[in-house]
Amino acid sequence: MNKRIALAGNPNTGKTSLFNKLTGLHQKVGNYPGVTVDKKTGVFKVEDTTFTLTDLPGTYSLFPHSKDEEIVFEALKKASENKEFDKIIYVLDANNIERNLLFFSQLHDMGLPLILAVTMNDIAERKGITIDFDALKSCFSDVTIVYVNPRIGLGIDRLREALKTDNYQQKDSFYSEEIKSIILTDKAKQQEDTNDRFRKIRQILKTIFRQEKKDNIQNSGLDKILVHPVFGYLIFFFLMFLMFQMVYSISEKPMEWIELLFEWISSTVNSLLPEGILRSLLVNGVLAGLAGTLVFIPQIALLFFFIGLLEESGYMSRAVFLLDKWMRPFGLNGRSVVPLVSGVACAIPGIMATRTISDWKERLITILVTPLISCSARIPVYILLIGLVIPDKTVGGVFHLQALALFSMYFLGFAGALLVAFLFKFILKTKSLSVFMLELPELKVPLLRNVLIQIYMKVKTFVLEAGKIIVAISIVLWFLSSYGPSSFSKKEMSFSEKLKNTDIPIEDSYVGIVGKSMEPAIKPLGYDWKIGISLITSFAAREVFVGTMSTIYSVETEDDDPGRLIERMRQETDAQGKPVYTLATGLSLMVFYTFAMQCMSTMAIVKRETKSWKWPLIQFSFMGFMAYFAAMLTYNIFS
Amino acid sequence: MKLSALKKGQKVIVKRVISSEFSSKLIELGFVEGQVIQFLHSAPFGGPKAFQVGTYMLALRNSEAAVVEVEMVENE
Repeated sequence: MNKRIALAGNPNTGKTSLFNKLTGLHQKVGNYPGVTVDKKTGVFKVEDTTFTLTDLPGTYSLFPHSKDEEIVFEALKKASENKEFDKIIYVLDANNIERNLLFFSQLHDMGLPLILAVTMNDIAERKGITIDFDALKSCFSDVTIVYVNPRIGLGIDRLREALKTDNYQQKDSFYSEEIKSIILTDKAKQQEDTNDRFRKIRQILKTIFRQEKKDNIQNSGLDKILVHPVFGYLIFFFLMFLMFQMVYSISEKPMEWIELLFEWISSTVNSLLPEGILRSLLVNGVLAGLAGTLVFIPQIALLFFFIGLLEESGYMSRAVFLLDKWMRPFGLNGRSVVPLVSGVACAIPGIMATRTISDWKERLITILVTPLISCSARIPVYILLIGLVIPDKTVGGVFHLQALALFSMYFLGFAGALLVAFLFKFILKTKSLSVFMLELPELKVPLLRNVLIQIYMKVKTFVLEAGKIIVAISIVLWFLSSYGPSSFSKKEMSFSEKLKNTDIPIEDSYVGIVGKSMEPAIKPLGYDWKIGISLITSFAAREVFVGTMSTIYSVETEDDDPGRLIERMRQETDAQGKPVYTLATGLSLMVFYTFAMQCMSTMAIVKRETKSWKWPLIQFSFMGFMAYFAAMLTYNIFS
Repeated sequence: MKLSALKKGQKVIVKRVISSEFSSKLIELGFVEGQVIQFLHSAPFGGPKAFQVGTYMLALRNSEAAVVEVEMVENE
């Protein structure tokens, strides 16, 4: 037998903890049609009944104020017509019973079959709150009430039992069809309805609710420091610095291991298979794409470990509180800071972290500008070019020129991101009523299970959804750089023989030809066709630039020691015998890599997060435009 | 007086929410007549303000707090 259950309730009630406790890793992230909120479902069994559980986004009321809340309303409306769900578990935080009962009473009046799962009863007890739930039951007949504490697993069996034995009958709806339509279109009627409900709820609470002590907010002393005008910011910047350091330094080794593993697999395939198309496709197309996907896992996992801790503990909303004022002039939200900071390590987890921004316009702007922040993949390119054109000298006693150049690139990226955000604030037509109204939940020790499950789900989503696109693009790039018109021109060879010959010089491949033919377009930036080829191949990922340069100049190089490549590139001269890599060309290239969207993985994840190709393509275009003109400007200033 | 005009630490009760684009949501969050509110924290340079609304803590921007009419609690 199958039953469909929904979890509903206010935000910060422990809804997700309960969802994780019930379903464990049997979770799936899907789409709601037309919106960008994820549909989280999970499966669990009680004896022979399979329950499919949907975690509805947390809301304070039935009446929708945003696209996300419309989802909840539509789903519950369908449930009341016996379509979408068989039963609703309403999660109620015992500490905020008055506010929590509002939404509950609305669902009850819709005639939905409900189970009331009361959470945080232990905290309420510590605050001296006593609630007579038996008396509450008499006010809402037919509702089973279960105390749960997902942290320690308390009450979970009773909840499962209740799901098994409970009545699944719909009751008469208090909201008749006419009232429903009036209430939904008429804001004044909605407010009247809400006010009436609160009056009734207070009447009920008078007899069943008692509180001995008067301190409602725990840890208020800690809060004074966390949102302090000076210490609050210091703590925030310290935490962000720590997060960046940890993500950056801890992920380095595992990323190396993943790369080494793929090198090993590639060389094994190379030794097992005969030379030819299959081997070339496997090694340079499929395996390269897989490696390019999996190498991001350490960064994604670590970043979501930190974000998970910050969210779970309740700290994140304090940070948003402090930063909102600073981000608003740029069309961003207090919550945009975490994606932007994590963008310094890698844009992909940063973009995935924008999920926490509820306003669509603010979230979209954050997604659009995060890849402008200089990520770790740009470092090999910066190192190579700085070593090539910037003298290893100190000026004024303190400023090391090479360090200064590196710092300038990071600064340029941040400045570019803020500038573009500011412009998009005016360009994007999406009407947004930017509502803040942020609940600051009580500070608590994070629940590790929730953090780990989130990491698992994020990594899974990235590998399955972005991975497909990344592997596909890798195969296309492999084809374009392994074949050229000359591969297919020899008449005496059969087609399959032509396909077998993948070993042509890169300048004769399709990529090479495009690189050469675009020389007139990139000449104003100070580039020759060899650089043009590298620009195309590094669309896969920025650091590929170094590898392609090595291929073109036929030198063996490591990413972290480009010494020999630098030497070879220094000797490179143009037709007039002048060096190619001048200060102007080098700086121009660095500026180009700062702004250009040279990362198919980021585009794949933007597509996944915005659910359309429109935004990654817009992003690719404006970033390319910025890169081109900023690089041209740089070249002209320095030459 | 308006909720946005409070001094830190002051305790008030809600009289009404002035009709505006924010009012439905504010009412749903518990800004109903008689609700006890205390101003707890503020972010610097005109940033959001944090209030205790009944039993929980909520942060509002000044523009949002400006539509809530409140009066001082006597004898507190």
